Amino acid sequence: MRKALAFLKRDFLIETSYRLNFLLSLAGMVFSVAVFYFAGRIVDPSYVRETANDYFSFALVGMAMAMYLRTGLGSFAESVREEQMMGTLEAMMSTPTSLTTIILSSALWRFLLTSLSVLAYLLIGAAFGVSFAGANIPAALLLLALTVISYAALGIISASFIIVFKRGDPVNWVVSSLFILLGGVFFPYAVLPGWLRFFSRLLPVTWSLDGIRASLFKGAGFSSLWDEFLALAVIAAVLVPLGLFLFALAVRHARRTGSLVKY
Amino acid sequence: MPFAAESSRFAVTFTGVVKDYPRPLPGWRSFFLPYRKQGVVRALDGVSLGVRRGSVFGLLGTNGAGKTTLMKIALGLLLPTSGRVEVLGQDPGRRARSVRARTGMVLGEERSFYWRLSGRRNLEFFAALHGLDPQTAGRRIEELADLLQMREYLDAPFSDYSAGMRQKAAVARALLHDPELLLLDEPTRSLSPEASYPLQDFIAGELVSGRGKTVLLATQDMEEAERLCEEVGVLHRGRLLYTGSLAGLLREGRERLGEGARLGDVFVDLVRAEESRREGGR
Repeated sequence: MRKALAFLKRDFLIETSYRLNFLLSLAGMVFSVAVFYFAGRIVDPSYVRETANDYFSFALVGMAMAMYLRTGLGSFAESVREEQMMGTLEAMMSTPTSLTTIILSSALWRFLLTSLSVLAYLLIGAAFGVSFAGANIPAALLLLALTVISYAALGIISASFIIVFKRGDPVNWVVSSLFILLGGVFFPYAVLPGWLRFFSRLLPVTWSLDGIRASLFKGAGFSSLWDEFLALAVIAAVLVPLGLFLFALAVRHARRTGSLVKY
Repeated sequence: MPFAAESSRFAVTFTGVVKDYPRPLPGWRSFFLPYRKQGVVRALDGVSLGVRRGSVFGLLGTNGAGKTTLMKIALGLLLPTSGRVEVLGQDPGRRARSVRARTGMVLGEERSFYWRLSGRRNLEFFAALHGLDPQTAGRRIEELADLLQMREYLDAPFSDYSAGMRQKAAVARALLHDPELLLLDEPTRSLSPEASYPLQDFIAGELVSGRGKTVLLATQDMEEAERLCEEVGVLHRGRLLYTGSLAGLLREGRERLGEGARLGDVFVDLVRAEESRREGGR
């Protein structure tokens, strides 16, 4: 716990040393929310009526959750690569801290920042008129937790590729492309051809977005979201051990080949 | 196993250590071939040596000799291809975290700090990774700042540090958890004499004589080795050409080269003889 806090403190100090960065990110959020607000005015709400009130609220949740997707998939691999390039990975590994702790803790700040950004997105959305009245927040948070665990597991698999291949991580590329296309992030997957819809149902993002939108906009609770909880729990139960196994394999390979600090 | 029976006298022992790195084949074949079937570069070739507790052992060699590889194996950052390694009575390949808790390393890498943070913040972070609580870490950093005379710039951004200040910060980081063993990889590289001499005196006087630490020092600075080391190993292209006392190395060398020969002359003579042997073997 103390080590995790040390990572958070380190990243907070580094982040706040770049003062303009945070302000620009916030301005960027306002602009992207505004784009979807106006795009929403030309989209018939009946397309998204099943899970949201209108297209703007549908896209707002899609956008916010896509941030978690990007963070989950990319933050572990980016941490490995940044520390390799700064030359600090080996210095950290010279301490009695396991590489798993180093990688997981290095990503904590990004997850915290993403959570704040998602909150900012939702608040900006509310300012633009999205209503969260009647939202089932505990159900949404539990779905979010299962989603983040699944994305983090995929991110750890992605980091394993970075440790071995340095660049050209196929996991991040394939997963993020497929998830955005098939997962119902910016449009409901119901508009996809039937055979593609089958693949949509295999992705955690689909279950996550369906569940979170239903809990936020329709007030759906645990009993009506049972399928979403179960699907996300099963996906997480498969991906987490797989991710940790591949990561251990990658680290062992790097210790044998001496490639851990190469980039 | 020449050192196995005396492991209590030695802080570090390497016995027949071999390290091969993969050498990817040219073209597309390397993409499809598994690691084991690719060519290898032998970085260490059956190295056996022992570092006595409470002494400074100098690992002498030019760039690419295998010094850093040997140090990284001692800390469990790399696994040897074959051979046996024991550090403070433990195998660093299997008990890396336990070895690292009792060992400090100064890396040859100058960039191994967070340049946006001050020296103090950097040291606080690494102290936490060593499991020190904030109060203990704070006290330790103050103590080391005095010991290494770095107090006046401790709170300045690391990006403003000179090469000498960075090296001192690296030494302070290695000492945060008060380790029994120090692995120093060219700690005075790129330092001027007025910066390197006090650091060398600190290592010999304060750390080894004063506090009984063991130091494994990798260097290609022969003057530094003469100032600090009682025992040395000469490493060239992964092969250990000599291991024993510095006095013994000088005596043997002077028998060949004459009384006026310095350590540098003896080192060059050994390396040249090895190169001739290799040429003859082809």
